[in-house]
Amino acid sequence: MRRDRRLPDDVSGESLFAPRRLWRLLRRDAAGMTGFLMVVAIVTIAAFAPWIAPYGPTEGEFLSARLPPAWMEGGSSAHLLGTDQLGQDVFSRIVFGTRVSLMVGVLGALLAVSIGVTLGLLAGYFGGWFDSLITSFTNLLLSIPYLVLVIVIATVLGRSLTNVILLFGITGSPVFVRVTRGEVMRIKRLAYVEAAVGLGASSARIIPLHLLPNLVGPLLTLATFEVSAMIFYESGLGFLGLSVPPEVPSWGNMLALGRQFLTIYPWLAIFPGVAIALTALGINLFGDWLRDALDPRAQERT
Amino acid sequence: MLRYVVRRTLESVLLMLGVLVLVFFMVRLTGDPVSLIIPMDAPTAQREAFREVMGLNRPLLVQFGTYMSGAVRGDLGDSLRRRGVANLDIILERLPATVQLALAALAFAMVVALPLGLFGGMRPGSLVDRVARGVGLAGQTIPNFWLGMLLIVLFAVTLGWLPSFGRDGITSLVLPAVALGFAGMGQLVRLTRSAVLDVRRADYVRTAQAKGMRRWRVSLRHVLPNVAIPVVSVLGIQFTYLLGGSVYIEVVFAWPGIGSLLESAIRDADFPLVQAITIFISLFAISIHLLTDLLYGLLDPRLRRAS
Repeated sequence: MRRDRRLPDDVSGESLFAPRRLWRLLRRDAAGMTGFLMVVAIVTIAAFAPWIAPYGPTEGEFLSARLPPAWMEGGSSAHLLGTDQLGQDVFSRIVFGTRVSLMVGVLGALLAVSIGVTLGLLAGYFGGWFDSLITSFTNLLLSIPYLVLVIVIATVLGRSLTNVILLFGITGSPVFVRVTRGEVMRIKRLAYVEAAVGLGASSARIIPLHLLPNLVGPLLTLATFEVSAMIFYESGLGFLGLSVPPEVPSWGNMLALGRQFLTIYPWLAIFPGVAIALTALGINLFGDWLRDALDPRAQERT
Repeated sequence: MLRYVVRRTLESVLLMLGVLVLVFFMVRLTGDPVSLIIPMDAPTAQREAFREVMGLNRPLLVQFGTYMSGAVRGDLGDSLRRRGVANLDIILERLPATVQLALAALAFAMVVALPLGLFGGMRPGSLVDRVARGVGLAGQTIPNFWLGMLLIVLFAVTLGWLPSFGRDGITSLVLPAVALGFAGMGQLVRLTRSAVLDVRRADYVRTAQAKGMRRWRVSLRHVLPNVAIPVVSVLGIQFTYLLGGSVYIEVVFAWPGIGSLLESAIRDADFPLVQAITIFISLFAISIHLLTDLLYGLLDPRLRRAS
């Protein structure tokens, strides 16, 4: 920890979200920058998957099945990370798997945020029976061990990408309800909101103008970590054979296959896991930086 | 203190009842259980006969009543695959293996995490601290089932030191416990470290340092007891995570616990058993939560006096 006694950035009157301010903070933070570059790289890989992957995700030849990685004995330079039992190129499937993981992570988190923020805002702002109802339901959902909850719902819903996104969107929302509600209850007692109420401002004016802007920071940080968590959980579901259909190249599905051949072709299990770990690492490093960057109180600390 | 105990206990009982209701409707409203078990192309008569046997043709409210009155008396229904065997008996048979694994994982996590977090936090920026931060990050970024497979490849297949599956003596516990405890270890390191960072600037720590007390004694006498409070409070949550995470680890290591039971029940479409396991694990988790909260109350004098 550095004992850096520079002035808080707010002095300049710059907005917390000003791109120039964020960029300046990012350049000062090696870990945050690493995370940011990793996230950019992952998004790029997902966007340009067909151009990066040398083969299609389900393209396979039996003649080149079960090849070890290129640098191992018997490996072929045509298949950098080897091939699976159908002759499908492991590297290409990992590249295409980036799309599935990001889609589940980002869309799932967006859905969770939308549901969570809406319910949390209404519950925190208006209180009363609606608040009690939402709070008890949130506590209830959070009391079931998350992984078990997800596994059971996935079993009942069946395997499809839409179902998986819905599943994570819904089960991920209680956390956002809780945080939004807590923040709203704190903020609505602050002097400037009470002043607005005193001046006769309506809820329709207070919520978007005075409450929402204050929520963006904490929620954005939480959502970032949630993306990484959902990518994690999706791979876990895939591993158990409960996520997207088996022919879809997802990292979880690849790990499920890897488990079957673990003792004979270990590379099938190793490389998709590396992809998951690197993705989670990038998002977490970026998220740690984002948390400090968007927290006005954290500025003087690190 | 008594009021606190009573209030938390009542809350937990309400939560448990809520879980019973939620699981019942979750399983029924998200799809027709019959179509999960009987193949789609089976004759209608067969499907109806199955409905009759399972009581699924009765009105939803009647089903709900039977289910709830059974559940509060400890009857979680019978297994579909093992006819006439109570789900609860099947689960209880598997419980010791899961608890053993979870406790071993928790022990591993604490033994590594507490010293790392404590000494790392006392000297921010030191080598120990950097290791602590690395471990904290690794716990967040490495999926436990993948770690389990890596451990198998390394220690069981390549080196041949430890068994790769099954539950047979203490050696078979090592790899699954490490894989399961890894994520919790990361979380505990981060938590301990930040708790230490908060505490070490407190007046009583500075006083102890000022009077020339040795660093490790300050850590043990003044920092540790105060760090214990937030740490104990997350142990309950940790245990819940472990119960969920053990599904994957038990599958990877063919560990005969509740997690692998859930996986095989799903594969066999034994829907009453899946439902029973979900309820059991949830109620178990709520009880553990209650216990740690009460323990927390004992540890934190402020909480004791407040109520």
